[in-house]
This record gives sequence, structure tokens and C-alpha cells, in this order.
Amino acid sequence: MDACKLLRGAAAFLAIAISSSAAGAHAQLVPPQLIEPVAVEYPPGASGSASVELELTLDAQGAVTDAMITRSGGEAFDGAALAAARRLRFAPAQRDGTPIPARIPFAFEIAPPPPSPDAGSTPSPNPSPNPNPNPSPNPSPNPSPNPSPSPPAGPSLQPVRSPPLEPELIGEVELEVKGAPPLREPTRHSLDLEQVRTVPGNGGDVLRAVESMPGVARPAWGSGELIVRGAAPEDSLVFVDGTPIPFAYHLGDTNSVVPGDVLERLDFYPGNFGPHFGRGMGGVIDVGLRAPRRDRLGGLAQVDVVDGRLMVEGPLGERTGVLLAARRSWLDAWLGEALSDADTSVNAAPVYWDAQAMIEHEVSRRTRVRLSLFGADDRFELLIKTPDSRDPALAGTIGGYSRFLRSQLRLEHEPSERVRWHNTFSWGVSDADQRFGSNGFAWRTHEFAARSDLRVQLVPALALLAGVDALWSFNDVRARFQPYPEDGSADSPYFGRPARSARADVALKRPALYAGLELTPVPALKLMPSVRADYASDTRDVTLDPRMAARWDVIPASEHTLRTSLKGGLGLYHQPPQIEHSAPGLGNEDVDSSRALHASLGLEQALADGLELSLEGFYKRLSQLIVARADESRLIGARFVNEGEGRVYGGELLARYRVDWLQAVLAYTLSRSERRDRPDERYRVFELDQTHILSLLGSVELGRRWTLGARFRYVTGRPITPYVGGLVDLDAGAYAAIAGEPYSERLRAFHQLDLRIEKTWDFSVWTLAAYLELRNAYDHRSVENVAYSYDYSEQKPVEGLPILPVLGVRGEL
Amino acid sequence: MKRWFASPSAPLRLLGLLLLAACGADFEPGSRVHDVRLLALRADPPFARPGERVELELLFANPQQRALSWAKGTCTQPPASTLDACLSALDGPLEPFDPEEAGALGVDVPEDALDGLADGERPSALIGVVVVACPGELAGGETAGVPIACRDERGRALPIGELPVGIKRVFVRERDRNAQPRITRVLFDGEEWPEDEPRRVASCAGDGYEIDDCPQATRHALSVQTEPAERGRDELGGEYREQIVVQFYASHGVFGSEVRIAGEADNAFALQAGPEDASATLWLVARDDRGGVDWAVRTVQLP
Repeated sequence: MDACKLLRGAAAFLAIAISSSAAGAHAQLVPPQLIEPVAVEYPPGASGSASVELELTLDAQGAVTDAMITRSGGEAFDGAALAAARRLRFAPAQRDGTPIPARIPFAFEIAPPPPSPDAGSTPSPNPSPNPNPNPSPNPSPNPSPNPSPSPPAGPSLQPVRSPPLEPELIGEVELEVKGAPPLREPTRHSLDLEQVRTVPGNGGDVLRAVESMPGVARPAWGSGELIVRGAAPEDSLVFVDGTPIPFAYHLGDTNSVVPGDVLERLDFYPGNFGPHFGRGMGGVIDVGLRAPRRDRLGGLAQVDVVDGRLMVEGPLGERTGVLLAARRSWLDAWLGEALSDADTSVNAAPVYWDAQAMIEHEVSRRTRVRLSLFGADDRFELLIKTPDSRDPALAGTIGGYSRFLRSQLRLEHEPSERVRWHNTFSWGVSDADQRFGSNGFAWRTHEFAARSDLRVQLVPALALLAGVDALWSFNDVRARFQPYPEDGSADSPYFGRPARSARADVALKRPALYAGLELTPVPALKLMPSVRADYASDTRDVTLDPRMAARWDVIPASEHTLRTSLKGGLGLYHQPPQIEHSAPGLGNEDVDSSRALHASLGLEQALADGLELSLEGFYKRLSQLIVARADESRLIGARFVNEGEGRVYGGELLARYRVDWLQAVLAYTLSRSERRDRPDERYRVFELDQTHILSLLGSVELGRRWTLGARFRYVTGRPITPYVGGLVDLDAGAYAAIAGEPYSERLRAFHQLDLRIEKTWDFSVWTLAAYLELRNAYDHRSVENVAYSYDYSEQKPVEGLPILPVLGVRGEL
Repeated sequence: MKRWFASPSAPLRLLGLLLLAACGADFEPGSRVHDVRLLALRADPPFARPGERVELELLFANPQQRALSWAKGTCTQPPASTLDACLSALDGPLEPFDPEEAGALGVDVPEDALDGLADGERPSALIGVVVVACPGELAGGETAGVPIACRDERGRALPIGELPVGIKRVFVRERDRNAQPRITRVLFDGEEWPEDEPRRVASCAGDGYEIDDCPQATRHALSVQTEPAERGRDELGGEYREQIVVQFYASHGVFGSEVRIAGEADNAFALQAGPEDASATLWLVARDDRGGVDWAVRTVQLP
């Protein structure tokens, strides 16, 4: 096999594929507008006037979903302002005509009510210095260009428009969760989708931006694995509006399966997430699909050498929006020829597609329903006529397909300002058929998920969250394979070892209930105790996960002070076994869920206008980890036991700076992740441990719609187990490695600089954006792996890709 | 391999890693044999019955004609079919033997080899045969987990890289046999190549690892044909379809590919020999993935 030729083709494919998401056009942003002020009770027992400043979180319907005091006017006035704020109603912010959630500053000027005409001779207990019963709605010296309607007559607080809302203000804050905000986890990173599209090295792919967040390790080349705070990839979960999906990236490590164009938000939880997520011990990525636009027809057409994408959206009546989108790669049209030679022929050249369809209807101002379909299909199959000399089993057909389809019904109902009830039902199919020569597996899953989330603001200082999160799956697995390797075993050929065939039909039922409180005893303090109970039918066990999160604004933001907040969390997280660990006939029927204890403590500090700093320390204790012990009396060739343990500790730093024309992010993690396969063993470093993870991102607006961006990354090399020699497997005619001390060495550190320059042209009905990205700008040859000679007597580093220029173009209606 | 259950895209990532590893490396090919190598161990029959005696025949290369000491051992029903599992469960110490002696490499399968085994254990019912080729004197001790040491003429204990240790599995079955993957023809430049007829060929200068570095005139077509692979249902009820590969070795020279799938085993060979090398030996080994093996040995000479 001419592997180098194959690799050059694959590298070009990857480089171009990663670019295919291309540049995002800069959005036209419209701020929210107040349309429904409220009348509020002047606090009993209070006197005088007060000014209360708040930060309001609005959903895409313009409803206030969260309010936080940024400048106190005193406890009584703060409470009244908060209660009033939640009943405000805005016309939502918009991007290119599409309603979006936003976070805005707001202020109340509170004056005592005028004396009642019926008060008689009894003097008012609170003589008003301002007898005007109908104050102007705009007493500000800076009248807004969009004056609000006059407030109702009578005793009232007077909402005062803060300095005019500009698009920059909205861009300054993070795009927030729409609908019911989850409990405020100590650490939840909500990514600015507009910002991440311009980060060099991501190719405009939104999901890949998570790799630059603190706590996220760099995956091995081509793997696309999500490694969060030292956790194994299978410990972390990816959701689309609460529905789990089986894989996040096409063909392992290219574009994400849900393009950024259809997303409204991306929330990343590195740990200590709330009770609404479970069945995982690592991190969580939850992306949210955006609503189709209803103001007018819109669309996107994008074509490049890798794929083509088409999206159409628009109104269907006054209250309904529809979106249809699809993308297909067409590398198979030309890459197949490039990969074929005397030693290799292409059965199926790499091809992927993904599609999204949505229809959303606003039943009323308080109720929305959306039906979505989304899915992805990846396929790549080679016929390798020249087996790998180190394992002749790697020959013949290698590859196959992986795909999934999900249908999702989402119902959001907010019967009052205090109650929010969201329901999501999904049904889907996941299908994989993969072959490795004479071995292979086929796996089909039908999955039904249901989630119901209720949030009730009982009183201003107390909110209740409760919900159901249920998952049923029906799995049909057929496989032919060599025995499952024991954990920590060295490379050895599979050729000549006894093969097994297995078939399993497994139904898994995993319902869960959760509940929590959000206590705000004082405005600056939030306490969030919660609990989650899970049942897993394969372990026949109920697990209980108590969790606690807290956030204290030690120094709230005000005109004279910068915000200082402390945050922390402590919680238990259970993760049920993978299907091969527990399926009857394949795994162990007595295997239990694994468990993790998460603890974190952090500080958020605003240092100056536009400059914020976040520091967080974390600790995780892992127990009951499932490890494989060689046991060829079992069909799969191994016995799975809950004897593994682990610990992870470290600290994260996130600094963000943003002004009009410049934004910069520094993310740094210092951590250590360790494991042991038996309780009586010493801890060893985890195979995916990365001590230092540094990302430095920046982008500059040069004017005239030119943007320059850069990203620098530095990552400690991953641990490897050195091989000290080999034994001859006389059935395979190849060598089995003899391992040295497990994970006692490391690859060289990775570092890379990516640059990007982008230009956008605005036309009357469409925009055109083009960018040039220079990946690995100073051509540093990182070490991605170690290659060994046929007998493991020699080793050489395997270097990654060289400097790569990437060009992308995109047009948008 | 183990994560493919949990990760649908694992094989595609495996392919990527293989590509990266293959292109990044530039090692001497394993087909080049310039010192003691254990190439194959043929069990007759590959599948043995309880109570049966299995004779084994060893194919090894010793191009430098070094004086060798040999040791052998067995592991009966090891906990796993891996090589290190066999070494951890040896039936006894490794004992010296002479491969030239008839019957020296024979194994007696116990009568009760299958007794008491659960159905799940039967696919891995086997006896492992360990062979050690010491280019020196055998000694007590351990070498990288192998319970034997080998000392050269200076008394230096040889590291594992200089001490060939091979292990072969003899599967134990009630009824199945598994025929050897018999080599039927060897063709050189399209013509039949009998074992006792050396071919005279010009040599390619240098010792590069790629046959493309050799002039076309020094490259020769080499083809190995075998009997068709077996397929069927084994006594354990599993469907099987054999995979047969042909592996190429030479004391001097370079091949187009080190391994080919049987049925697609057209290869190329270029001799890389200096005037001091009168001839080169080619070992052509056909293996099926159920323990069967056959081989052919040929000789090429300079004109």
C-alpha cells in the first residue's frame, strides 16, 4: 500500500474539509425594545427614591428569563425591582431578522408614589418628593431613539431606559440559553457563536471551538475525541436540545454533524453540571437549534471542493417558521481516484452528509412547539490488498458507515412569568456497519428519549426545578472479532487468534428523575441544591446523585465597582456501562455503573471594562471504573469488573478581553489525571493526560469588514507506553510488542499557530465572505504518534501535518 | 480495537492512524532477513484432538550461519490466546532441544484437554508452543519476561532484540481439522519456478527499502498461488471464512510488498547483493488465520 500517497490525499481532504464551513457573514443585529412595562408595588416600609440597575436575560420571545442586580438600591428596592423586571416584556433582539436571546443592562428609577386622593387628614407615611402621578417614561437625559409606551397610571416604579442599546452591547454579552435557563452551574461556558466562527484553526466549525476552552485536551490526530478535565472520551456527552447524539464529527475529525448555521447556542459544561444531565461523568456539550426566521425568506448556498450546502428558511403563516438544510460532501467524485493504486482500491470514497429540518409554531405568546429532524451519514471503505506487515488481519475491506437520524418534538410552555415548562420527545435510529478485514460489527439502535423540565419561581428568593429524563434503546449487535484485549495490554497481532461471533439483542431502559432548588437568600447569593435519581435496566440498580452549586457575587457590578464572584460545586455523577460491558451473552450481567465525585471552586473577576478573569480549581474522584480482564472463557474474551479507580485535579484560567475592534481569549489548564486498574495498585498517569493546555485566541477588526485572527496552542504531549522489544507470533508471522513501564514516557509537546484573514462584502440582498487561513503558520512538526519497526526494536516519531493554507468562500442571503 | 463498540467512527480513525504511522516511518522492512529469524512453525495438524500427538516443523533463517542453541516449552490452556498469557502459564521451564532431531518438536495433547470446558472456552482451547533460538549459550534467568537467558561468547546476556522467541498455537478440537493453506505454484517473471532451480538475476545497486529505487531491469515479477481459502461452519457452530496471506522474506533484496492477500499475491522482487553475496534465499510463507501455514524456499543468484 502506498501509504504516503494515501496520507497526502487524506491530509488534503482533511484540510479542505475542515475549511468547508467557511466564513460566517457578520450579522445585522437589532437590539430588544421594551413593549410592556409593568406596575409594581412601592416596597412597604421604604422611603425615598432609589436607583436599581440590573442585568436582564431575555429569551428569543423577548421574555425576561433571568434578572440580576448589578447595582443595588437597597434590599427592599432590589426585591421590588427584581419582581418587576421579570414581568417586563420586550420585542426580542434580532440577528438578520431572526429573534435571538440576549442579555441587556436595565435600570429602574424608583420614586415614592404620589399621595392618594382618598387619604383624608391622615398624612401619608411616605410623603413623596415627586407629586407627579404620571411621570414621563423617558426622564433620562439621553432619550432613546425607541421610546417605550407610557407606563400605567398609579403607584408604579418608573422604568428608565439605560443608555441607548447598541448592537455592540449585545455583542458584548454571551448569547444565552433560551427558554428555561438551567440552574446556574458554577462553570458553564456559553460560546458566542458569531465569535467562534472567526477563530482560526476551526475552519468556522462551531463545535470545534470547544477544543479551545479551558479543561479540554487536544485529541489525538484524526480521533475527534472529546477529552474534558482528564476524563475518558466515552464519559462526556453531546446533546442537541437535550437529545443525545452518537457522534459529533463527520468521519472522526472533520466538520461537526450539526452546522453552526442552524444553532442558536452552544453550552459547554466541563464538570459539576446540574441535575438535568446525567449518565456521564465527564463534560457535557449541549447545542440548541435556533428558530427558523419568520420575518422573510432567507437562505444560504455554499459550494467548495469538499461539500455543498443549501439552506432555506422562512415564514409559513404569521406564527410559523420552516427551515430546511442539507449538506453533502463530494470528495468521492475525485478523491477515490487519488487514493487508488496497485495496493489499494476504494470501495466507497469518503462521503458524508447531514441534514436538518424544522418547523416551529408559536401557538401563543407563552407556548411554542417545534418539530425537528436531523441526521448524519458517514461512509468510507477501502479494499486493502496489501495487509499491514505488523498485523495481516488489517487487510481486505476496512471501513464502513456510521449514521444516525433523530426526530424531535419540543414543546415550550410558560403559563406565567413564574412558570416555565419545557418538554422534548425524540425518536431515532443509529446504525453502524464497520469492517476490519474478516472481522466486523453491525450495530443498529432504536432510541426513544423523553425529557420534561419544569421551573417555578415560587417567590423571588426561591425557584424550584424538577424534571424527567428518560431513555429507552433497543440494540441489535452482530459482530465477529478477536478477543477483547485486556486493559493495558501491548500491541499484538490479531491474525491467527481464535475469532468469535456474537449476536445480541439488548433493550436498555434508563429513566431518571431530578429536582433542585435555586435559593437566593440575598440578591448576590445563589444556592442550588439538587438531586438526580437514575435507573439502569442492565445493572438493575438505582443511583442517587446529590449535587450542590453556589454562586456569590461578593462585589456586584456597579458604577464604582467591578464584579467579583465566587462559585463552587460539589456533586456525584454516575455513568452506566457501555453496551458491550453489560449485554447478556457479551459482557458481565453483574457489572455496575461507574461513579465520579466532582468538586470545584472558582473566582470570577471583572478587571476593567471588557476584561474578565475566571479562575477555577477542580478535583474529581473516580471509582467503580470498568476494566477488562483477559478471560477467553467468555464470548467477548474478557471479563469486565468495577475495580478501576481514578483521580483528576487541576486549575483553569480563562481571561477574556473585548473592545469594539479587538477580542482576545486566554485559556489555560494545569491538571493531572491518574488511573489504576486495581485498588491495590499504585496510580499511574492516565493515557490521555495533558499537563498543560494553553490556547490564546485573538481577532482584530481592521475596518471595511476586514478581520484578522490568530490562535496559538501549546499542549503537553500525551503519555505513551514504550515498547522494549517483541515476541514472534508464529501464527501471524508478525511481532507482539513487549511493553515497558505503562505510560512512562510522553510525546513531544504540541504547539501551533494558526492565522486567518477574512473579508466580507455586503450587497443588497446577500453577503459574500472569503477567508484565507494559514494553519500551522510556522510549520512546526508536532509528534502525533510513535512508529515502530516490525520487531519493535526501533522507534521513530510520527509527525503531524505541515503548514497548510486553506481558502474558503461563502455567500448568504 | 476495543473501543469500536462505543465509537461508531473508530475504524475510520484507525485507518487515519495507520496512514499517519505508515507514512511517517522509514524502517528496514521486516522482509529483509540478515540474522537469525523464526519465520514459521507448522503444526501437523493445525487442529489437534485430545490424546493426539502433533508434530511441528520449524522454518527459520540463519543467513550468517551462527551457532544456535535451542529451547522449547508449552503452555496448556493458557488464560488467553495472547503470547504473554502463554508465557505466564508455562507448563514447566523451557528445555533445550535440537530441531534437527526427528520428533524433537512434538506435542502430546492431553486426553482430557477439552474436559470440563464451558462452551465459551472452547474457541480458545489450545496448547501454546514456545521456541527460543539463542545465538550463544542458553542460561538461566529472564529476558524481558521470557524465563530464559542467552549469553554470547563474551558472556553478555543478549537483550530480547537479539534473542528470537516465537510462540505458536495448536488449537484443540473434537472433530475439526483445518487443512494447511498449500502453496501450489511459484512464478518468477511469469514462469513456473521449481524449488531446485535457482534463478540468475542482476542485482540492484544499493540497499534502499523501496523497489521503486531499483532500475526496471532488476525488478522481477513474483507470484505465489495457493489453494482456495476454506469457508464453512466449525464444530462450535460459528461461520468462518479463512483469510490467507502470503508473506515474503529474503536474505538480500527488496520486495514490492511484504505481505499480500492470497489470490492477489502478485509481487515484485529485486535482488540487492554485492559480489561477495553469491546467492540470496527467498522464503515465501502462506498462512491462514486459523493456524495453518505452508512455505516455499527459493534461491536467486548473481549471473
